[in-house]
Amino acid sequence: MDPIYIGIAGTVLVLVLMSQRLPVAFAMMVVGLVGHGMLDGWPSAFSTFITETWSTTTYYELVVIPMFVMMGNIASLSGMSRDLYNAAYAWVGQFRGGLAHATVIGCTGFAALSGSSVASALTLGRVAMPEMSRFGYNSRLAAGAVAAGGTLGILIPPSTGFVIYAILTEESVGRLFLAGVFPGLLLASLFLVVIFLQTLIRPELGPPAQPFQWRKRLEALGQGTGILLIIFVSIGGIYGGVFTPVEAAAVGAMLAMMISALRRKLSFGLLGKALIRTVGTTVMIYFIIIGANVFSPFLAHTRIPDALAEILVELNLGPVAFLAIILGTFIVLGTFLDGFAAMVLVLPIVLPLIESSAVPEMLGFAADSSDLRIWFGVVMVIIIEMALISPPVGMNVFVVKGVARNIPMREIYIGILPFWAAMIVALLLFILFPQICLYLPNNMIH
Amino acid sequence: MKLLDRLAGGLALFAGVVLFGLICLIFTDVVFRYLFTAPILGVEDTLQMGMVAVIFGAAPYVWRNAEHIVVDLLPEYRLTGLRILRDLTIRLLIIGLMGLLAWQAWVGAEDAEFFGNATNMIEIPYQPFYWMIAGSTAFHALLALVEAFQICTGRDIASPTADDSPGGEA
Repeated sequence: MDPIYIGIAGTVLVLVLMSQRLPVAFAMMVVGLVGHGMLDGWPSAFSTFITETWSTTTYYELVVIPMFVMMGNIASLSGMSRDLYNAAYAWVGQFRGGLAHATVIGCTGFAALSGSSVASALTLGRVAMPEMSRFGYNSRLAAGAVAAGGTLGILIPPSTGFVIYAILTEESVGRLFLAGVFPGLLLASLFLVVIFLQTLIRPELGPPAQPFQWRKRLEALGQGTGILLIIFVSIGGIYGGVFTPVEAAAVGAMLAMMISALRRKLSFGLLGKALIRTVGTTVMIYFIIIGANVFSPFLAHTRIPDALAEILVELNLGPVAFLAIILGTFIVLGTFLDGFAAMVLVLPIVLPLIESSAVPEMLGFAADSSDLRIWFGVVMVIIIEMALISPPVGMNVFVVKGVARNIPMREIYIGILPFWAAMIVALLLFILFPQICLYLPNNMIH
Repeated sequence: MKLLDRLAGGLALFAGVVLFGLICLIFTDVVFRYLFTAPILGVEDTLQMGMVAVIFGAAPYVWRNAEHIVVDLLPEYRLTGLRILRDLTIRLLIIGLMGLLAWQAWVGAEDAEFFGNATNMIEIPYQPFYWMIAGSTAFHALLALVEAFQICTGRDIASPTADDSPGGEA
């Protein structure tokens, strides 16, 4: 059988297995293994399976994942996220829509401690939703702010999305982390603009809270100093070239534990819970990467990416139309698949296509340059963020629903729409001005 | 199953303790390097091998607790028979995959001993870590086998795929 047909059958089979609730990682392993066996013989397929498992598990750069996940878990379980929210609340709560602003600001700060969007939405949602409900906030606005704000977790470093992208594309984790800073801050600003505009048009959506006295404001800010110290040392350490990403993550995790202990909030129980949660998330991510590493070589072997490239060349599309098709496909796929799943499945096909197209030239990159891959990494993560709040499998929407059970799903999705539009605006800005993503990585890492 | 779940939980706890040790090791290395100009030898080697213990220590527990990403694209089957067939097929695929990995890891362990494979700096032998993968994946397959048996006998199991919320953490 022609390898391309085997590849198409394999891709369809992965989707079928996923739809039947076989975990994504195992679906890719099964199809990658069987497809490889059919193309190259079973001894080669078996050997690939154990080799990829071993090399992924012992890959030094990946150690950054459990370390940053641990940092985020300690910050979340020990109540640091509440401190962040309280600080933002004290300063902006008295404005129209202030609590929703505080939620997004809190999410932005927490994103610098956690690489997970779900964790960000969950921890900030638990704190912010009851407060917004208490002050009579519109449930759509409240749900939208938590769900969208939470997505910043995987754009602002540290980010598990960037680590997985880095492994799949052999790019530098440090450069990708740096690339996420300005886009993350820009997107957070756009979310704030969305809240501002909504409450400007309809002030009843987000009534102002009681203003805080200056002393209380400064106290609330003081509570946040521990978090700022962790962010400054760990993330600042990477930017300053003091630590490797792995070291920065471990130092951040240790600092989070120390600060929690100093505040008498770290017990053996909490530490155990954080460790069990961390190893759980770590195994889930490692298995996804192993699955992708078994599936991707099979897909490359089938020459599907080459065939698709030929088709697209024959269509003679301009770079704008080409990019629109690729991103549009990703966005649609992301609404049906988990964002990570969409990325690990499609990246091996899409990245070579982008590299061989006129897109790099349009953006001012060399065809197979690191800059192009870094830029595309940011774009990918934004699309994963969009997938996180899109029906029918938007994880952050489930999280908001879990925190505020009285809000119907329909209301949550309607509330998310303006934030989703802000993400599209951000995506367009990154296409028009790629330097937003590349300025830091090209000027801070030498 | 309760006994197996306890074993899986114990292994996950062991993985957590190893992870805690790795965090402490890196932190100590950084402190020693900057304060005493005396980095610890073999940190990278220890991390690489330690992660094998972390991942494969906790993998069976993660399976039992449905923490893998599952796509709930389609609504749950209304017919019990179809649901059982699907759940059983999933277990059979897991048994096959994990059993195969256990076998290949065992072969890898023998190869590692034969070729004397070890880490670069402090020469930690690979063999015990291949055994760890073999043991963990065999246990993973056993868990799936017991689940399949329970599905066949109509017993209620804490099915990883029965969870309504997909266990992702993007």
